[in-house]
This record gives sequence, C-alpha cells and structure tokens, in this order.
Amino acid sequence: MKKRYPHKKKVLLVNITRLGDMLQATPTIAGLKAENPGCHITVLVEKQFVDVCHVIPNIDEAIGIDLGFVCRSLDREGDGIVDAYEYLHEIVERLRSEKFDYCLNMSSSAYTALLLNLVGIGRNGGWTSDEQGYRVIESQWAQLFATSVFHQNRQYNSLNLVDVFRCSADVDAHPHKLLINIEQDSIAHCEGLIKAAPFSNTGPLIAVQAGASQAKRQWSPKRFVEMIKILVRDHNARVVLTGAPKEACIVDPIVAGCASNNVLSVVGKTTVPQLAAMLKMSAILVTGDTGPMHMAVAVGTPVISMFLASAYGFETGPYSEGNIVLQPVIGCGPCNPNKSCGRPDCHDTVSPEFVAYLTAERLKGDIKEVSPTVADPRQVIVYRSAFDEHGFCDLVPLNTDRPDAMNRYRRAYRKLWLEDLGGFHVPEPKPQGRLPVVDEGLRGLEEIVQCAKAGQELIRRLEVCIKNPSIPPSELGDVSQRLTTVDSEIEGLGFKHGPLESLSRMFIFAKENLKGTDPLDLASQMNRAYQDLERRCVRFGSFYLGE
Amino acid sequence: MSSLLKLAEQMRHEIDRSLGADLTRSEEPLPRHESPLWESGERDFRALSKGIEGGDDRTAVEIGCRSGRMLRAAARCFGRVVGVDLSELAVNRARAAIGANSRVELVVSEDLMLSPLPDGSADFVWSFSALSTMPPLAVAALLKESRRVLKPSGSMRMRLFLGRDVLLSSDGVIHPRAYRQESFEKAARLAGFEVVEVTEAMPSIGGALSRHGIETAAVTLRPAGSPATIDIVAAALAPASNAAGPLLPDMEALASVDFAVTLAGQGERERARQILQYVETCCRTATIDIRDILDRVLTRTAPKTDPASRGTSPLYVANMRRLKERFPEVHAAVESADTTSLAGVHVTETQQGPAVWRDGACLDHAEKPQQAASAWAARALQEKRVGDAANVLVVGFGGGYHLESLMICSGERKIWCCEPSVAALHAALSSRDLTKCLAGLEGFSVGSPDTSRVSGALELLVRPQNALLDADVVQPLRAQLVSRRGLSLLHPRIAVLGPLQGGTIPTGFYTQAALQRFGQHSRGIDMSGFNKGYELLDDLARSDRGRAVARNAYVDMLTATMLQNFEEKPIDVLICMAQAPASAKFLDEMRRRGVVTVLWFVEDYLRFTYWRDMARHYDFVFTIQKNGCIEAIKAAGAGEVHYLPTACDPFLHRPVDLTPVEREQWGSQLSFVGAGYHNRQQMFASLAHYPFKIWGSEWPMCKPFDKLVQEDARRISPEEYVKIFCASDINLNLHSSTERDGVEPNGDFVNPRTFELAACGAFQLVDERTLLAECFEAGKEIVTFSSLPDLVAKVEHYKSRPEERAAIAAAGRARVLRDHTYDRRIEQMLSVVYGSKFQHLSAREMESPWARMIERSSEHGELRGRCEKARARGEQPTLDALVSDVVTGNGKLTETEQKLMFLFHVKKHILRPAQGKKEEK
Repeated sequence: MKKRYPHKKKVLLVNITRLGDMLQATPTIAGLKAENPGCHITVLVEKQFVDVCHVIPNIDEAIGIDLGFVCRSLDREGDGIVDAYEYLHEIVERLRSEKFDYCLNMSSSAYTALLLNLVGIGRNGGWTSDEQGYRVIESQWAQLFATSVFHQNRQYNSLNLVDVFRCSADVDAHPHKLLINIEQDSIAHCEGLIKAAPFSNTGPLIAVQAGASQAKRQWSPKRFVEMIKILVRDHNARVVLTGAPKEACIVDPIVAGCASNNVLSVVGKTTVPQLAAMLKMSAILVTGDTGPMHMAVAVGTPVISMFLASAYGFETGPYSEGNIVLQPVIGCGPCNPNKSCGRPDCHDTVSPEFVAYLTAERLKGDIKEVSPTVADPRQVIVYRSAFDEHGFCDLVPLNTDRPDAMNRYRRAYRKLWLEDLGGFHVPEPKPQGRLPVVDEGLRGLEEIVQCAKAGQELIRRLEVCIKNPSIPPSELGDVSQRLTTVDSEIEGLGFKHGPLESLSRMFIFAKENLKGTDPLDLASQMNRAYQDLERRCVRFGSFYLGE
Repeated sequence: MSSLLKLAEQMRHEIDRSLGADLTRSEEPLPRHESPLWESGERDFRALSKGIEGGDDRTAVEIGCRSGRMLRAAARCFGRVVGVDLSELAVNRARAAIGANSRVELVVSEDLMLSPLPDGSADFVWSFSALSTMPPLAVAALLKESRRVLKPSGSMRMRLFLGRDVLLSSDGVIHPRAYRQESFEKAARLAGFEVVEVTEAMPSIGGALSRHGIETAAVTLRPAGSPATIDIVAAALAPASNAAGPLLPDMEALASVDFAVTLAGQGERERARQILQYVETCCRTATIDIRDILDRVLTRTAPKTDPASRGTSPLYVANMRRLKERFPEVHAAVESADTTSLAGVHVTETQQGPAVWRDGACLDHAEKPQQAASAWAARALQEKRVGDAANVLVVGFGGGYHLESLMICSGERKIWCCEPSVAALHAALSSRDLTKCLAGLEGFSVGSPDTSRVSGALELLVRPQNALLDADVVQPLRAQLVSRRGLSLLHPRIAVLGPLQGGTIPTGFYTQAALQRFGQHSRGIDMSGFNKGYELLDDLARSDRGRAVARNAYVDMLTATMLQNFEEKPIDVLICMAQAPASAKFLDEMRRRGVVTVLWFVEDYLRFTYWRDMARHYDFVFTIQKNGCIEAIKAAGAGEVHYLPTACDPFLHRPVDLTPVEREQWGSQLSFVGAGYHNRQQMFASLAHYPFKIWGSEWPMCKPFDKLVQEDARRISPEEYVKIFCASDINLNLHSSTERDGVEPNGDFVNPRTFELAACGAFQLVDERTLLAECFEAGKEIVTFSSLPDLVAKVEHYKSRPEERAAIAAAGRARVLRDHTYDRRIEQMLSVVYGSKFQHLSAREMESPWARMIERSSEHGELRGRCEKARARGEQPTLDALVSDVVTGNGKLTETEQKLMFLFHVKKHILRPAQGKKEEK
C-alpha cells in the first residue's frame, strides 16, 4: 500500500468520543505497533474511557480529556469560560510536552482539528486545522473518510471505516479483527452471574443487546420479546440481555414480556471488561449497530446485526469474518443520522422470526447462503462479513446476487479507491473503447472530465502568467476567475449527479488542502488535483461498466 | 396579667434602667438650646421621612420616642406630632427637653398599644430605633396598632436591621436584633401592610454589621388588607432557630456604643465612659476596639473652642496672608463671611492637633487627625483611578491634615481642593498653621468647586464627612466630572424601555440611538408591538373594572417577561420612557437587583398624574417641566428629580431634498402635523381660508377640516413629517391642550416638535411657552405667537418673506444642533445618573461577570484583552461574545483564538445538542 509516513516513533491517536470507536481503532493500533517496532502509542480519549483503554492491547498510554468539565464550565458562561480555557491550556501543554511525531485524528470534529493545530504535530493522518482555523485533511484516505461521511455519499461507499482509518495511518499489516483483552476476574464475575441464573434450558447462551444509540435505530422491545421467545422455546436457548444502566427502561419490559427463567438481564451488572467477558462466553450476539457489537467481534463471538435507520453495514459493520448484517432495502435508508424519524418503516423489514432463524442457523455454523424465499431481497439484504484479497473488510450478499441499485457504484468505487489511493492491483475492467457517456448511470461523468481538462488547461496558462512578469495582472485575474468557475461547475455537477459526488468531493478536498505559498508549486498541486479528477472519472466509469 | 402586659412591664423596666438606674444616667433633661442631639434628631428625621408628605393638617406618630430628639424636627413638618414610649421616665425627659410646643403630644403606652390614638387618625408612623430593639411579640403588637391608627392613605416607616435572624442574649428583652427581610415582609403583610420599599438607611453603628451580612434598612409600609392576630404576626418574625450566633456580642456592644456616642454628643462624657467601660467588661467581642471608641468619644467631648474667638490670632492672620497670596478669591470669601455664618462649627484639641467640627460631624479624625489623614491618603492613592490621574480634586478641607498627607505621597500629581463651608475653612484657618498646605495646593475654592482651570485627567476624592454634609455640592460635581471624562469610566448595561403606544415611542428610539452613539452598552426594548394585544383586551373586558383588571394582568405578564429577560441579560440601569409598562412591583424588583431606575417623564405632569404612585419607585425622574413639577415629584418620593427637555435627533430630523412631486405632495403654505386636540381644532378652524394642510390622527372630518386634514387623518411617520416640515413654508406648532382654547396661557414645557422642526431647518410659528426662552431666542431663532390674532398677523407677515423665514430657520437649526440634540440630553442624563451612582455602578461593574472574567484571566493577556473588548462592545459575558469577531475574521488565528474556537465548537457540537435533548425530555 502507498504510505505517506512509513516510520513513526511517537504516535498520538485522537479518538475521543465513543467506546465503539475505540474498539474500531484496535486494528490500526495493532498495525502501527507491528509495522513500527518500538513505537510508543498514546490515545487521547474522553476521560470516562481512560479505564477502558487498559483492556485494549498495544496502547502505551491513555490521556483523558474531560469534555464533561469543559461543557459544565461553558454552560456557566462568565468565568466558567476561563475555567474551560485554563483546562484546555493545560491539556495543550500536556500534549505538547509529549513531542509526538505523528498523529491520527480518528474524529472528524472541528474541535479536535483545532486542538491538533494547537499541539502542533508535524505529521498527521487525519483531520487537523491550519493557522487560520480552516480544516486540513492531508491524507487522501482521510479525505475519502470525509467524503464518505457526507450523507449523500454514504450509500456509494463499501469500505469499512476501520479500513479507511487504518489506511489513513499507513497501516498494511493488521489482525483482520478488532481486539480487546479479557481479564480472568471478569470471566469469573460473569460465570458467577450465569451460575446464579435460574436457567432451565441447557442450550446455547445467546447474548442480546437490545438498546441502541438512537431511538430510530431501536428495534422495538416487542419484537425482541417475540424473537427471544422463539429462541428459548424452539432452540433450548439461554438468553442474556446486556446493556448499560440507562438501557434498563428498554430491557426490563423485554424481560417481563418473555416471562421466562431462561432470560437473564445483566443490565448495569457488568463493567466494560466484564461485558467483554460475557460476550466471550456467549455463543452469539443479536444486536443493532452498537458498541457491544464491536466488542463481540473483538472477543470472537459471531454477531447477527441489524443496521436500521441511519446505520449502514458497509460503513461500520462487524469487522471480522462470518458475521451477519441485515440491511433493510428502503428508499430513505440509510437515513441522515442527525434527523429523527417518526415512522421507522425499515424496522418492519426485519421480522423477529427471521432474526431467530438466522441466529439459530449461525449457531450451527457459518452461513454462506440465505434463500430469497426466507429473506426477500426486495425488503432486506442479508450480508456476511468477509475480507477481500487486499485485507479490506467487505459485505457479501447471501440472499441475492444483485443486492440493490447502489451496488454497482459501490463496487466501482471500491475498486477505484483501492487502486487509486491504496496502490493495489485491481483487475482491468473489460475495455470499453471510449468513455461510456451513453450509460444512464454515469450521466454527468463526461462533463466532469471536460471540466477537469479545462482546469488543467487553465493551470498551464496560470503557470505562464506566473513565470512571465510582463503579462498584465488582469490576465492572471482572468485565469483565476475562470478556475473558480470551473471548480464551481465541478462541485455543481457532483450535486446534480449524486453517484458522482464522491469524485467531485474528493477533488474539492484536494483543492482545500493545497500546501505552501509558492505560486508555481500551488499551481502544480492544483494541476495534480485536476489530473486526479480526470483519471478517477475515467477509471470509475470503466469499473462501473465492467461490473 | 396578659403576656403582652408582662412583656411591656419588663421592657419598661429595662428602658428605665438603661436611662438611669443602672448606668447612673443624670436626671437632668436634655438641654433646650441647639445641641448635637437636636441636630442629629433633625438629620435622622429628615432622612427617615424622605418622600413623606407633611402638612399642617397631618399627624405623625413616633413609636419609642425616648428623649424626644426627633420630635422637634417632626413638628416642623407635621401639624400634630405624637411621641409614644413605654417609659414614663423617657416621656418626662422628652417633655422637659422639648418644652412648650403646641404641635407635640407625648403619650405613655402602658401596654404596647397606641390607645390614645383613634382608628385611622395618623398620616405617618415612624420608629427610628425602638422597633429594632423590641422582641417579636412587641413588634407584632405595635405593627398591628400602627395599622389601626393609620389612615388608608398613610404610611409607616421604620429603621431595622435586616439580613439574617439574630437573637438576643437570654437575659433581658431590649436588644437590637436583625431579621431576614422575607420574615419581616411576611410579618408586615400579616399585620395588614403592603411593603412599599426597603432601602438602605444611614447606618449608625458602623460596618461591623455589614461584615456579618446585616444592613441597616428603612422599611416603608402602606396599609393594605386586614391584620392577622398578634401571635401570628409574631410567629412570622420569630427566627427558625433560637441559637445565638457569633454576632450577638457585636450587636450588644454596638448598641451600647451607639448609646454611649449619643450621650457623649450630649456632653455626658463621664457616663459615656462608664458605658464603654461596661461594654469592655461585659461584652465579649473580637470585632470592636472598645478602647479606641472610648478614646474617640472622650476626645469628641473634650472642651470646645469657639473659632470666632481666634479670628484675630497671629495664626489666622498668617494663614489669611498666605491665602490671599495664593487664592485671593477664597480669601475674599472668608473675609466677607459674617460671624453668624460661623455657627455650627467648632474645634476640639487632640494630641495630634486641632480637629474641626461642623454640624455635629468631625471633619478630621476626632482623636488622631494626622495618623488618620496619612492612612486616608495612602488608601486613596491605591485606587487605580486616583493613581492614574494627573489632578485630584478633594472635596473637604477640614483641618488640612489629609491634604498635607496627600501632597507628601502624590509626586507630580496636582492637588485641588474645594471646601463647601466658609465657616469650616474659617475654623481651620484659625486653628493651625496652614501655610504649607495652602502653598501645596494647585487650586482652591470655597462654596462650589471650580474645575475650569484643570487640564488633564481629574479625579474626585470626597471626604466621607463631606459626602454626607455637602451632598448638594458633591452630586453635581460628580456629574460634571463624569461628563468631563466622556462617560468612559463606567460601562453599565442600560435598557431603554419604551411605551406600548403614544407619541413617546420615537423618543425612546432617539434615546437608544443617542446612547449607542455615546458608546454606552444599551439596548432598546420596543414594546409597541404588544399594543395590539393591549387594545384587544377592550373587546374582551367591557366594564371599566374588568378592563383595568385585564390591563393590569397584561402589564404584569409583560413585566414578568421583562424580568426574565433581565435575568438572562442583566442590566444596571433601566431608563423607562413615559408610559412604559413598568409596574411598581417590577420596578421594586429591579431595584432589589441593584438596577438604577430612571424615568424620563416627557409628559405634562398636570395632565398625566400617574407619577404620584410611581415616582417613589424611581431613583431618578427627568421631567420636561420645572419648579412645581420637580417639587411635586420629589415629594412623591422620587430619588432625584431633574429638568431635561426633549430634543431632536439630527440624524433623522434634518433638511431633506425633495423632488417637485414630493413638494407638491407634502408641502403647503401652512402645515401642521399632530393629533387633533381641542385647542388645535378650535384655533385651526379659523385658518381654513389659507392653503393649509393638517396631518395626523384624531381630527374631525367635518367642515372645515374635511378640506384641511390629509390622508384620512392617518398617523404620520417621522420620516414623513420631516418631508412635510421641509416642504412647507410655515409650519404651525401649537402645544396641545384638552381644556383651553387656542394658546395655553401658562404653558411651560417645550414639545419635541419644536426641536425637530428647527433641526429640519424648517420655519415654524410656535405658541409661547415659559421654558421656550431657555431653548431659543425668540424673534431670532424662532417665532412665537400668543393668540389667534397674533398668529394670523405673523402668518401674514412671514408668508411673503421667504428670506426672513430662511434666516430664522437657519439660526434655529444652528441653535438646536448646538444645544438640543438627544446626544446632548443623554449626556446630561448620564452625567446626573453616573455622577450620583458612580460608586454603586462602579461596584456593580467590579462584581460583574466580565470583571470576574477579566480578573481571572490575568495570566492570559490576550484572553483578558478580548474580555475587555467584548465588555466595551456591550456584549454579554458569553463565549459567543468572545469569539464573535474570530468567526467572521480573516487571517492567522492566534493561539488564544484557536483555543476559544475549540471551546466554541465543543459548545456547539456537544453542549448544545445535549441541552436540546434534555429540553426534549
């Protein structure tokens, strides 16, 4: 794989906000350690996750930032602002004193970008900001992450974010799974819980994570009850309901609804390491797109995961081989994570009976096929998680060959980015002779290519103007103005032709991240951006038609 | 014997004991001649009865009159004064001291009842210190009795200690005590009173109480509702816990010290010493230096010297010689002062030199004048404002000690002095060698200060004694200096509250605009949008009573909303325009929050009389009328009342170029803009034969007005009337009257239209007003008329003389731009407010969130600078304010800016969404 900074000694990983994110960073951390022997890895996490970092392998040090304190102080306004300011000052000084030589910001927030510019680490794999406060995304993989999380582009992406982050940090070698250490004490604690449970069944221990991070992702407790009843009744299962204390309001009704000795709630009874142990002891986990899902993956327990509402399996699906991902096929999905939903119809595409069936099947062994008569591919696609030949996680449809209308784009983009950003060999598509402007699915592509060419032509004129002082400044101004027009047209074409927006967005990020002040050097970087755009358009069109 | 009688008996016993038995008090009555005691009685009564209407037909009652020191002062204001006390001994002493005075009656109350007084017979009941020393049961009984004897329109005022409950020692019942304000207010309500206001009273026993969170307060009550039983009232007063706090020794000691000082003031030096020795022996307190007080009291009572007798001493002659050399005008003033003017001043000897006394107050330290002066000077120079000033003006010469000390440590700083009292200066000149002191002064004046020769930054230092004695000199001086400093030292947050409706609405806008031009942190609160709802109430409530209830409820809703707004965006000064929807409760709450309340009453006080009820809720009232108006509003209880006419806003009221079409549309030979009041209709009907356009509302549409009134008598906007002014040859300006025909014969105030017309460069004929001559020179800058024939004659004269009209209009415009803009008025208003409330507003500023932020960020220079800038812009102390120019700025961000932006994004992306979720729940 192409690498920007092959050698790293003292690395800072910024991964501030969620447990799931921490776990998703573990392949990158392991890869960094493997590829940079002796390198020291520090993670910057929110204070409450510092303890969790102790069970994550390969972390040398965890620094906690107390965003709760910052928020409470800011909420007071007045001299609370000074408190927050002074606290930030301390954090910045602390981070500066570590003298990191590389940083991967795995968060896309503006505040972490500003923080990293304040800390002043020379080499960065993720988002940071420049001296004017504007965002800077140097790594093209990180630019791809930024492109992919644009809501309108999500459905065209098939690269798991674990891989995108990993590549942002130049990590090739990785364990093909998430990682977490399980302590003996935690296992003993969970064994005690199970032993004390009044289970009458003797079958598999099935973990169920019913709570979800957003209300619209929450499969209803009633459906969980139905599913669990089937598993308990028909499969001799013992069911353990996991969750944080705040999820008791979801889990308690499920326990009550099941009214069975074989259903045990351990909500609020496990710490993070103990939850990992409980999942390790379980034969399978039924869940949504949650932190426990990533934890199950990390302990090697297979998962049946429902990606409802805004959750998108390709993006944050289980990062190991052989897990099941259910992705509803619905016009509005995956929906915008920032919008609430009053009518989550996508939940209806996944029935309790079907989830129970899949769970039972997966308990028997790896699932390689699901009959479309059992799962209608017009309603829900059943995927199996797997790794491709380049070691990138992928989802393979089990109940159809032609999953959905976006699949062709996803495949084409996957090949494009692996080849273009990763430098991997991707088999040549069948020769098409000329750019396939006739294909409906690629409408607008030819126009973008023409814009990219026009841009390169303008850059040539720009270079002439820069080199030749005798040319009147008005000419330079004219060229500059026309370049702005071309860029604006490229952006507009991306908006107009949704499947192509990832191409135009990558171009915009490239232009935003030009470095330096030398006019000729800047012109050269700009030329490269237009060249990249043209090349990517052509390759994307070829891959698309080759699918 | 009832519990009340028992209590009265016990109290009487203790009062008698304190008056003589235990403390060997002399049986001699108070001297009848003028003494510090009578002076203090006069001073205290004046302070306590401020805003209370007196009169020969009115009755006042003092509860606990003791030796009657305030009764003589009260008898000068009220036709009948009744002094009531439990102690016959006290009443006898008062009777002897006061002598024959037909207005004063003295009554012994055997049972804590005001029995001799019939129901509803008194206009004013007061208690200076008696109620503050009585047990709750007695206070409850007397509150209830006061409610009984007061007329419905009467009021009660008492001095109390408020802050927190403090109990007395277990032996005895007469001791000073403090209550929580809410406890006392509750008790007052239960006793059938409404609490009108609680203000700071002049403290008599020093700052030790303040250190314990207790203030001396003047509480004003007004009858409202029926009283509960004495026990219920007393229960509201009783503290929750009976544990005597650490304050107890102080309270006892301070009360005794207070008494000793009073005795000393009466010349009873030996008894004062005995009491202080008793305090030192019996009261265990760490916070009062009894020995020091003892020394001071004894010094105060040292034999006095008559300053007049020194008039020819060599010391006086030498001082006068030097004074003549340095400050001949002051010398002349002292020379010309007659001996009678020297009354009230004396000099006492101390170990550190003579100390000058005036009106019962020592102008130097009574015992250690030199030592105290050094300490005062050092403290003064530690103040940043003084330390930075090139000039310091000291009000109060005293014995000159403090000036000498100030000169020693002032370096290059120039010291100016003003001594308000010629008599005090005469005493000083007679007492000690002041030649060096006079030589060191840069400037000196007597009476009122002269700062005209001062160049560079000038700071004011007022001796505390002079602040009390010479408020009339000090307040205008403060105002003048605040104005002189360009109002730049204070940054109070000001709100301008406009009315719901009426012609005052634009005045509120102009006021707000002027405040902004002055760089003040002001915001206008335009209430006119709420008028629609206010008017709609009439459709729902048809009866007068129903309408009044609905309107009051509507105003209460608005004021509750405003209070919430001010909670979120606090202010320091509230300027209410006339008829702004500000209820008494609202204003009291604002004052409770420390907000300075200001009313600009731009109405005729005789026609709009709501000031009678509202004036006392304002710290400042500015009026457009003088004399009777100012006196009446002062008597109604307003803090300060000043004349401040309306003005023009030259940014709006200015000559405008009009197209021929506009001239045709808006212009006329004669024009008038305004509402169709009676006198205008009556007068203008006679001008119907002229080319005459009348603009404005409330005009009849019958003949002849159907031809004169324009555009269906709609309201005319300010922008439109400027066009009318500029397009018309002669603009008529007749002040409104609802009663008189034509010109109001005794009309005094000048309406805003007068200034606005002049500012537009328009020619006007305005009716004669008594205050107009102060604003314009008639005949040169403006033309007036006194009657209809006079008006017709002047119209005839000027209609064909455009040059004359233009010349007068130009002169009028020049005058109004110089003297009568809202900028000028606001400068005057703020000078008064800031001058008078300088310390209060400074203290608020020091305690404000910005001040704390600035102090806290002292180690982060740039952050501190940003806080200071944001404060100066008038922003709220928020993060948004600190980053407002970062967000929109360009170029490289500093480290501080990046850190603030970090916080900004945390707030935006974490805090606000979390708050939103919480609110949703």
